[in-house]
Order: sequence, then structure tokens, then C-alpha cells
Amino acid sequence: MIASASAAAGKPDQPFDVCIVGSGPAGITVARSLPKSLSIALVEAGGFDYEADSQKSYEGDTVGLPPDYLSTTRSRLFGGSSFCWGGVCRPLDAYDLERKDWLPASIAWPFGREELLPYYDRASKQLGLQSFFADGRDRRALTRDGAHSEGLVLVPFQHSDPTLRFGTEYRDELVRAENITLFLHANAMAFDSAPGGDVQALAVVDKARQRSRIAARYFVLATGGIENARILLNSTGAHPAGLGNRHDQLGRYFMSHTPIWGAGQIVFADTPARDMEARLRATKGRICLSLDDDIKRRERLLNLGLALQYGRRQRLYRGERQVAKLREQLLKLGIGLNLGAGDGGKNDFVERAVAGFAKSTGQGEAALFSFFALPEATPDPNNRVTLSTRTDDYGMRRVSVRFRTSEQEAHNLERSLGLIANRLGGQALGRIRIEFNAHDPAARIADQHHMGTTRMHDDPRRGVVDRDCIVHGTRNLFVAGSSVFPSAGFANPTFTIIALAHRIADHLARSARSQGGARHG
Amino acid sequence: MDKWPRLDRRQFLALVSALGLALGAGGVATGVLVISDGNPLLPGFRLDPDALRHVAERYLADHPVEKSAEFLERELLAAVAASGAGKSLVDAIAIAVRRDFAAGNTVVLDGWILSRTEVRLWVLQALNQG
Repeated sequence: MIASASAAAGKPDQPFDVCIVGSGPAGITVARSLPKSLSIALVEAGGFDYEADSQKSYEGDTVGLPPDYLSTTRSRLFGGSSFCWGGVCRPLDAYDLERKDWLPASIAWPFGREELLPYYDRASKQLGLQSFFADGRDRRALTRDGAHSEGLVLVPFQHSDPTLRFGTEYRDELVRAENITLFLHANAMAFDSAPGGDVQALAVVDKARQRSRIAARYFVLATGGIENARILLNSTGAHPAGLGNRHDQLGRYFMSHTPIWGAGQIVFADTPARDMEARLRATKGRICLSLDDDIKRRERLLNLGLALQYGRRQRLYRGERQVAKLREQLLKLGIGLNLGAGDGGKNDFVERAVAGFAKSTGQGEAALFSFFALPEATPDPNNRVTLSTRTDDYGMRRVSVRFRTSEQEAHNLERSLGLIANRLGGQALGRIRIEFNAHDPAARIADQHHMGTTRMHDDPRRGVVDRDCIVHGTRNLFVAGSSVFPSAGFANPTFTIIALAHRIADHLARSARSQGGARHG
Repeated sequence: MDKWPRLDRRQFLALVSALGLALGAGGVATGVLVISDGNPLLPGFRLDPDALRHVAERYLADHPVEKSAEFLERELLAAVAASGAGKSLVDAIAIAVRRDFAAGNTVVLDGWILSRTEVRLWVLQALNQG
């Protein structure tokens, strides 16, 4: 059902079992995965549709980011940022979860990737994807003439196709669900905590600027990588520096991927090219070339994916000069008048003829792929979310976000590209062309992936949430979303966000069961 | 016994030239490069005359000391000799190219990361073209 926030305020003695703050992929996944026996308050700052006034609450101060970065990289409505999601899915690599002792701010995830595998499979099922882990689909060696190459792997992505818009797909289900109360236009301001640390209620403000409190036994904060930190920083009742911020970790280690578009080209020799094409077809989308984990560990490299672009592949024998030459030869013979653009776009004959011509001159089917580079995002304590002195229309302090890329990342990127070049050339697989300067900050601009601001570590001096994504110092406040990522790899984060949301739901359901349920009524 | 050090300059150039001729003239450049996969000189590239001149200009601008056919021949023969025992010239060059990559002995031209041996072969061809 849909309710106004003020309706909940009248029932402080009848808390919900669970209050989920945010209705994006993380929040909705938790809501749908919890047992129907639990009463759930699902709190969304926006409505069912995009509203410019609501979106403005994301605005804040930025350093090293475009001025409109904060308000253009999130969607503040029911369904959240699934509305600006590209649907690209890929689990993190095992290597991504490891601590890199040569990277100062690096910490390991509190668990290995095997912990995530069942949740990744649940996410795959939810999104209509194949399992990433059946039959070794996770990654493949690049092959040439049937032999595996050394040091290079192909890393497939899958697409949620059509991209799952959570707000569209699950709206009716969640509105009809008897155990779920949906609060729209309820702007979360802060958590109210008891002296012992547990959260008692969420303070919200509605469109009419009316303040309310939503009480619950458990809370799940799922408002995105920046807003999660913002709400905790604004929750100063238990600790003046913010909830979970006893050790000044909250808001730090903000990470964003910095994809490099038009990064270069790779020309692959004959059989690797065909291998690549087949895999691109199989994945219906993106496939990345990457160094294998052993090399990355040995050489102390960050992860890097070179995303080969399907559809921009060019067979070299289809060059204009050869087409022209062939056309000229055929015209001399009085045939081939249908060649080229004048044939209504049906160029199959041209392709076959040119292919035969090319082969007759000794050329194979080597192919040119453009690629964009996906460097791993790295944690830096100075890249952080803090509170601005300015407030939004609801009286909540806005954020200030600082983000800089580092020279270490640039050097690391260069080194990785050099090793990829050497392995391509050294095994007669192909050649690479780099068309950007890794040291140029303008080449590496933060994208819409916000990660790391409430990172996960069992030691509260090093993280904001524990391995179960519970905020340190509390027992009933979970954080869902990429803000808990200690590291980010190069994979798009939404798939891991959804997997972690399933994991949180499992944990929360167990906790709620062990303590007994109490339906809101 | 290594067979290539016994090649004299004339023989070597004749072989390199023959290799170039064998590749034909039907290639299409992507940037400056044309792949020659399907040819024994795997995985090297072949260039048309304009591209050869371009590569030579760029490379020699950074390596003026190498603007000498004698120097390039000496270096190429040494590279081939180091990898060519019991091999054909084509195989020996291919091995030298691979060894360059394995050792990081590469050259960046127009963004392409290339083996020094293959670049020197092109430059030598360009110098011989005048």
C-alpha cells in the first residue's frame, strides 16, 4: 500500500519490522527478498515519476568533478538509479576482493568471492541472465589456433536486456504487497539512535515540509553511494561526527570508475579475431581483454579491462581502397553495377567478393577492434563525501564531494597496457594502439558509479560497516549498495549491489526470525 | 650452427625485399598499419610506400643515429642471428619480433606499440626506397 509519512508518525509504539530507505535496485531487492511475514516500510524521496524539484536535493559542492555531477548521475524516484542504469552486468573478480599491500588505502573484503557466488546467481536469475559461473563462463583464455595464450583473458559481461527498470517492473507488485507500506516523497533526513547505539527511527520530511518519524526494528539504508554517507553524516544524535563515524571513516574512500572512451584499437590476428567475434555474439554485448590474475599479483597491477566494441569491428579486407579496386576490375568486365552504396544497402555480394579477393591476395581475416579502457577504481581517504554548509529545500545539509585520480593509477595503467601489448605481440596475437595519455586528468573523468563511502571492514577503525553490512556501533542498521565496497574492480557495480542486497535480506531475515517478528498494524 | 651471420648485406636485402614483394600490394591501411596475417611473416605488418616513409620519418626523428642502412642492417642481422639458428629467415624474423615484445623492446609510433625489429625493417625498406 501507499501511505503518507505522517501516517506512520502516529504509531511510534507499532514499529515496522524493517524500514528500507531508498527504492533503487538495492532497496527494492531487499524488500522483495524478505519474508512476507515481515512488515516493511519502503521509503522513497521521489515519486513514481521524475521530478526536477526532488532531483535538486542531490546538488552539492564538488572538487574535481563537474558542477552538475551529483544531480545528473542519480535518479531520485521510485526505482531509483535503475532508471539511469545501462544494464551492464559483471561480477567482481576474486582479485578485486583482495588487499593490495602496495596500495596504501587498500583493504580486503571481509570475505572471498565464493561467499558472493550464490547471491550473484540469484542476481543473474532476477535479471534474466545466464549464470556467470557455469562452465567457466566467467572468463576464458584468449586462444590462437586452439592453443591458450599466456597472460591474457577474455572477460565477458552480460546485459540485462531490456534493462530492468526496477520502478516499472516491480511497482504493482510492491504497491499490492500486504506487508509493504510505500512512503513516497519522504525525504530521509537522519536516523534517531538510542544511547546504546541501535537505531530507533528514521526522521523524514515530506513535500509539505512536514516532519515525521518512522519507527522500525531494523533499518536498511539504500540511497546510493553518496546519499548513504550523507544521511549517516547528518545523523548526529548518537555521535556528533555522524552515525558509524567514531573513527572518521564515514564518507572517505569515495571511488568512481573513470572509463576512457576511444582509448585505442587492437588488431587481432586471424583466429583470435574469430574467437573474439564468437564470444561477442555469445555475450550479446561487452567483452573485455584483461591480464590474468597471476600477472596482476606478480606485477602489482590494478585491474583493467579493455572493452572491445562490437559493431565497430572492421575486417581489414573491407577497406575502401579494395572495394574501389574490385569495383574497377568488375566494371572493366561489364559486371558489378550493383556494387556499393547504390545497391540499397545489400552489400553481401560485395562482402563475399571482397573476401575472396582478399584471400586470393594472401590476407586472412584479421580484424580491428576499437576499445574503451576500464581501469580499476582505487580507494583514497582524501576522496570523500563531507557535508556542505548549504542545505537543500528540506533543510538537510547538502554534500561536498572531492575526487581526484592519482599518478599511481596513471603509472599503473600505463604499465598494464604495456604488458598487454607485449603479450599480444609476443604471442603473435596482434597489436595494440593507445590513443590517450594516462597522465592527462582530462582523459579520466568520473562516471556515475559511486562507491566506497561506507566501506566494509570488521574493524570499526578501518570501515563503517561490518561483514554483514551492519553499521559499526549499531545492531540494526544495514547499509546496502556500492557504498560498502572496499574496492571496486572495473566491473559495473549494479550487479554486485543486487547480489549484496540478496545477501543482506538473508541475514536480516535470519536476525528477525531469531528475535521474533512484530507486525506493524 | 647459425646460418644468418653468413648472409652479406646484398643477400639480406634481397631476402627482405622478396618478403615485401611476396606480401603483395593489396593491403589497406588502418592508420599506418596493414596486417599481414595469413602471410608467413606472422604477425608482422606491411606498409605501403607512403606509410613506410611516414614511419621512417617518425622513427628517425627520435632515433637519428639509426638513419643509416648499414646500422639498421647490422642491428637486424644481429637480431635475426640471435633467434635464427636452424630457422628460415621468415621464422627468425618472427621470433625476433616476439622476443622484442617479451623483452619490452618496443617502439611507439602513432600510438601503436610495435616491435623494434619490425619497425627497423620498415625503416630500412624506406631508406632503400629513397
